[in-house]
Amino acid sequence: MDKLSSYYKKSITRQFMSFMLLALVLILCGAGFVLWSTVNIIQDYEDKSKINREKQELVSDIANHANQIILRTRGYYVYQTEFEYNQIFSEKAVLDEAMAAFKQLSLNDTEQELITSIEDFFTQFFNEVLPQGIAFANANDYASLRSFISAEADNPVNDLLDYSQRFEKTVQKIASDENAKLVTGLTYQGGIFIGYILLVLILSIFITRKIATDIGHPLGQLTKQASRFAEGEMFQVDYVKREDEIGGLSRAFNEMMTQIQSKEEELLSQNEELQAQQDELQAQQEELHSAMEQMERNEQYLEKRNLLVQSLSNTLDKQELLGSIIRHIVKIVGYDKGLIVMMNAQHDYASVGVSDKGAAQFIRTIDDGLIMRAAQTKEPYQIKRACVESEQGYHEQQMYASELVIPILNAEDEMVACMMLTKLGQPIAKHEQIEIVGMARQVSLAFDKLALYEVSERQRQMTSDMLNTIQEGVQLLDLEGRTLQINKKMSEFFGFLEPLGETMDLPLDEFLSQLSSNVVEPEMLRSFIVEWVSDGGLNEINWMNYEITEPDRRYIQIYCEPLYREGVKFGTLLVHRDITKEYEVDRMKSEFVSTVSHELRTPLASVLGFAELLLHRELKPERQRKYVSTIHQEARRLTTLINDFLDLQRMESGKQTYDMKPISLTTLINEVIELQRIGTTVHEIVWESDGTSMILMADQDKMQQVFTNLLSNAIKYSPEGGRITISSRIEAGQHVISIQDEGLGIPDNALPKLFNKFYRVDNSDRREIGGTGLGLAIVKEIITRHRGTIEVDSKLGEGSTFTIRFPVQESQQPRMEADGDVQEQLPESSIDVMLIENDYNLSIMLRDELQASGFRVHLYTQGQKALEEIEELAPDIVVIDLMLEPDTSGWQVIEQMKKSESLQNTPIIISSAFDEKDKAAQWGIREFLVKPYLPGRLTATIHQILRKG
Amino acid sequence: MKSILLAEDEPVLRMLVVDSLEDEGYDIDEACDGEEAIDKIKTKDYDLIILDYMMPKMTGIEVIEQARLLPDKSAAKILMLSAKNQQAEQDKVMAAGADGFMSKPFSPLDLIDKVEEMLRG
Repeated sequence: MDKLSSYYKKSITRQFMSFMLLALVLILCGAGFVLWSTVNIIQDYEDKSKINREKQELVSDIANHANQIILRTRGYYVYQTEFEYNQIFSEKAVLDEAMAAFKQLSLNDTEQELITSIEDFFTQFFNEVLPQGIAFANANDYASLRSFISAEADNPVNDLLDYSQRFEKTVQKIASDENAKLVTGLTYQGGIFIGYILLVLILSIFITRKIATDIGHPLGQLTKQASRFAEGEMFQVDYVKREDEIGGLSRAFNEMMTQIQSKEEELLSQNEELQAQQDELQAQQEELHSAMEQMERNEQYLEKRNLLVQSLSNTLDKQELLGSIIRHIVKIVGYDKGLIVMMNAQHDYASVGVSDKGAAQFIRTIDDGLIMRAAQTKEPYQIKRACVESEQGYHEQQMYASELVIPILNAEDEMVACMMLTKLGQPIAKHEQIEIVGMARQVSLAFDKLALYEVSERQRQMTSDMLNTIQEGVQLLDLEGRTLQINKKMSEFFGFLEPLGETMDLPLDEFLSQLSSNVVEPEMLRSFIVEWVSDGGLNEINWMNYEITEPDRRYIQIYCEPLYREGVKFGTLLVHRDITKEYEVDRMKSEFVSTVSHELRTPLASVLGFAELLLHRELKPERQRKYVSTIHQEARRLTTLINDFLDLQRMESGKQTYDMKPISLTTLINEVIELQRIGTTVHEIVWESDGTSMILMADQDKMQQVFTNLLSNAIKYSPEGGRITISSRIEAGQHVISIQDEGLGIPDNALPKLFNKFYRVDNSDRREIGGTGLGLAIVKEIITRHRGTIEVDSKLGEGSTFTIRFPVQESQQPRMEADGDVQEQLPESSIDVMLIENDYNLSIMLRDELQASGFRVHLYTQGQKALEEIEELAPDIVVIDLMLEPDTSGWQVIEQMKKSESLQNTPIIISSAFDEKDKAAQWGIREFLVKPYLPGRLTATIHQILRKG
Repeated sequence: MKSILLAEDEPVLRMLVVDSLEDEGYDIDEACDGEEAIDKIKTKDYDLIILDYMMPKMTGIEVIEQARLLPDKSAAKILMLSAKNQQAEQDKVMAAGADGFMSKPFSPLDLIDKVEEMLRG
């Protein structure tokens, strides 16, 4: 029992469920009972009323049928018909039936008696009365009949009818009695039902009260306590000792309260902490805010700087750059005017809002004032000034302009440019100035970049110029063989490269395929290049020759060199060298060798052949003499040939030395004529001179060779004899000597080749004449070396004229002409001659003479001045007069020169009226010209000194 | 008597060849250059033609080529004299149709032998 009690105590739900279940069972039982009693009463009533109704109906039926039988009997009596008769018996059957049914019912005594009387009556009736009556009727004895019927007046049928009527009334009375009983029963039933409802109500009240006490109240209490707790009150919670849910709830609530309390304390401490943190954050935020402002300012500044930098990096053209700088800076800082000027020689500048005149004014005073100060202090500075009219606009009130002068310094802290900015109406803030100075640094970097670019551009240009000046086609290939760069010569050789410019990116295949346009047998070249590109550097043979046809036929040698950068191959350099000349020289050389060999073999063949005949044949003396003389003649020819050949070789190689001395050509020609005359009888040699002496610096022997060759040719090639005229004259500043014959003449086609080595006019009659074919080549060589020219004029069959021209020297005095080599080595124009001469007329004459010879002459007419300036002048040669001013002599100058380290070896020529050669020799001076002398001697002496070196 | 034509522009060499061969009993005509040689070949049937390689107007080879074009002149043997003595030169000459080749300088006795040999064959 305790167990069950504690089971219920632990759960309100269980308690409540059990209560409800019990109440429900009670209510259901009550309801079932009420329903059952009511149904019972009604059932009972219905049963009784049914029996009464059936009894009544049966009684009524019996009465009716009994009556019918009587009536039918009497009808038969009257009518005596069959039908009536039958009807009597059918009614009797139904009556029997009804009476049998009635007997089945529970009958009270009265009814029992009644039914028995009726049965008795009808038994008697059918057994006695009816047959009697039928007998009367059949006998028509109606009178007996009537008496018979009247005797029947107190028969039970009438009783029956009476009874039926009475029974009906009885039944009705019973029915109403039953009804009344039903109503009473139902009323009683209603009272029970009300009682039942009341019971249910009481139960409900009880349950509700129980719930309210057990759940509602404690919950209400708890709610109150919760709100009290929420209000912050602390107390002991009720019901904690209860074991059911309320107890649980209370305990949980209690625990919650405890926890919340402890949590609250914790939170409070945390809150304090947070508060402290928040304070700190607040401070930090303020700090951040100020930093952000600073950053924003910086960002704006950077943006401006960025704009400037962009503008700076857009161009490398100086003027464009300057324009861009000043435009952008003025725009960025929002000023009104600006100017930037470079400190270079041209003072390149650019400006915004400044007139050309203003800019020019600024630049004019570049070494003064504003810019001067900027250059010296290297610091920017500000100026405030009143606005000029053009800056005032429509303002009547005086406005002020602020100006900032900023020096732009390079890495060496030198001012490379200066910038001036103007702001109208407002002062220039400190931070603006700082910004602008920052920009100036940027600008300075841009200038550095520009300078660097200019240097590299110059370098590039120089490299390009160099490459283009090289007379060899240069072609740079990368590792894949793509042509990257070529020079001018290369595009000359390969016209298809020209439109591509100097730098390109031409694939190897394309280059190779184009080669066929002007290379003879391009396959060889192709495979050579391909091999080099593919395994370049491994190839032992790095060159080959090929031939091109465009722009003209040329022989080209190509050679390859691999290119390395820091030990890694990065490409191949192809050099195409025009070897046409070498090729021609080579060809000519081998032709020459072949010709020489031919020329030597012919006389050799004669010498050997005749010698052999002499040795092996018995010959007549005249033939022997003829052969020996032929051998002699051919041997001499051979000798001449070899000599001529060697001479020419020497001359051509420049090894021939010329002993240049002043010689008289007139004398020389006369001697040659005399000699040649001896050898001929058929020629008349005439010497026509205009009488001028022909004295020039020449090699006597060589000149003799020239005229001997020419004159002997004239004789040889006019085998029929005739007149040979040698004439000399002066024409246009030149000695002209011509040798004219009336011989065979030279065909036109041979004229251009006449002076070539081994060239001999192809004509059989000339073969008879013999010769080496070298004579005229030697003549031309010698004359050229003497700065002369030779030309020929000829008509076939009528004779030839050879004309030689030598330049006439300015003075008739034999001029000490140096030979060509020295002239070339020391161009006079690079020789500074210091001429110290106090005789005015002589000094002018000598100066003119020296200048005409091409020297740079520095004339001094005063010794004192010469003494002062000689050190600085540092002349190459000094020509000095000994007699100068009264207190200065040439010796003083010489003395000074000999003491000076830089001048002591400078050649000195003394030009004096007094012969003091001994004294001069003491100073080591050999060149002493005694006045009067012709100016040409001075020049000649200088040349002599120069030649000695 | 066998007849020989000599075409040589050098008079001295002409003299040498003529003197050498005449002593051996040959009948020799001379020509100073190629053209003259062709003219002579046209007018006379020679047994042997001796040609200098380098002659004015026409070279020896040109003479051969022209001579070979002449009708009924194919019988003559041709001996070429040349100052160029390389094998290549000799091959060129032989290819052009010469029957013999001698380089300058030559021995007159060798020349006589060579001429005899060629006329015999």
